[in-house]
Amino acid sequence: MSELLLTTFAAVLIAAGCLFFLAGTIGLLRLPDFYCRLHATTKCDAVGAVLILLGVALIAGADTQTVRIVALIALIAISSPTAGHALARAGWHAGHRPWTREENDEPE
Amino acid sequence: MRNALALLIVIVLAGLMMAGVSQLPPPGSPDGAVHRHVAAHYIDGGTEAGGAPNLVTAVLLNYRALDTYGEVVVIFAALVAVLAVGLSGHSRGPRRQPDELPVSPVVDRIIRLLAPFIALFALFMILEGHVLPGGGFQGGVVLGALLILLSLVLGPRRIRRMLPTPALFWTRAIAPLVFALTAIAGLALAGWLFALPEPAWLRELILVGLELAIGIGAALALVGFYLSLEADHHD
Repeated sequence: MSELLLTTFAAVLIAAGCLFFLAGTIGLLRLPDFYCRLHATTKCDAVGAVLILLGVALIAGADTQTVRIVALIALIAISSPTAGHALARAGWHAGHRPWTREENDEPE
Repeated sequence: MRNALALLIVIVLAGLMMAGVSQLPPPGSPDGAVHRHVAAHYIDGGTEAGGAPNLVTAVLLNYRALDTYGEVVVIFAALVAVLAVGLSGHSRGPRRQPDELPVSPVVDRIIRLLAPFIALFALFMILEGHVLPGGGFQGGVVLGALLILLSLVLGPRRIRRMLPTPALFWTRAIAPLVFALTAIAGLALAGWLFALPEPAWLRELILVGLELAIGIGAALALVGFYLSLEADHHD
């Protein structure tokens, strides 16, 4: 019973992670400017991959593999937001101005 | 006229290729000559003759050591070319004021935090290369990426000064040098190029040395590319 519960929970986590990847990919293709697209795509790694890995760790159970997965989660949780931050900062200093609806300007 | 000639050449070459491909055995068929002769030979005696417990490594560092030697030389030649071009471009060209933007404190802290782990992983990949497939090149790329990251945080000058110039000069050439040394040592000790001499520990040591040389060579090539680009951008 508890195993079924655990597997269901893991499946929900993995499905949620996939949903984040889907949303991030659609955002990358559809959103108007650099900052919006960055906003969408950084969710793929930071949330999507972490959720999927959490699900995988639950399925793997108490095992040395789980330690590796947890280390991987820590790495992604630290490095992915940093990469997003560095990209946004570089974009701002390179002169990209955020797109706004009011000005009705063409997206870059 | 030229178009017609090009079309003719393309058609002839394509025809030759098609003819060649049509003679190939179906991919994955166990009766193919490749699987019955060459591969079987590798699987039978590869570990012993190749000196490495992993067959991929045995092929990479022993059976086809000459090929790997060529790869290392290509990487080294690319580095030499980039350095030569970069040096000549130093004095000329419009000097553009570098818009010095300090590295974000977040990035700085994260790179400092992750650096030891990345270094450990790079070393692991390089050293593990003699028992697992892959290794030297991949670990070298990780090491080079780490050095590039560190040059973002510490400034390229600190990275440039990490090794004194004469040492850097020789270390950049380490991979071709070690390969040439191994080839000659094999010729002298066992009778043919790249032969691995007998005691098992010596073989192991040589393989680890080769992997280390590949890794360090690849890392320094990457860093060399990056630093000369960086110098071009700022000077």
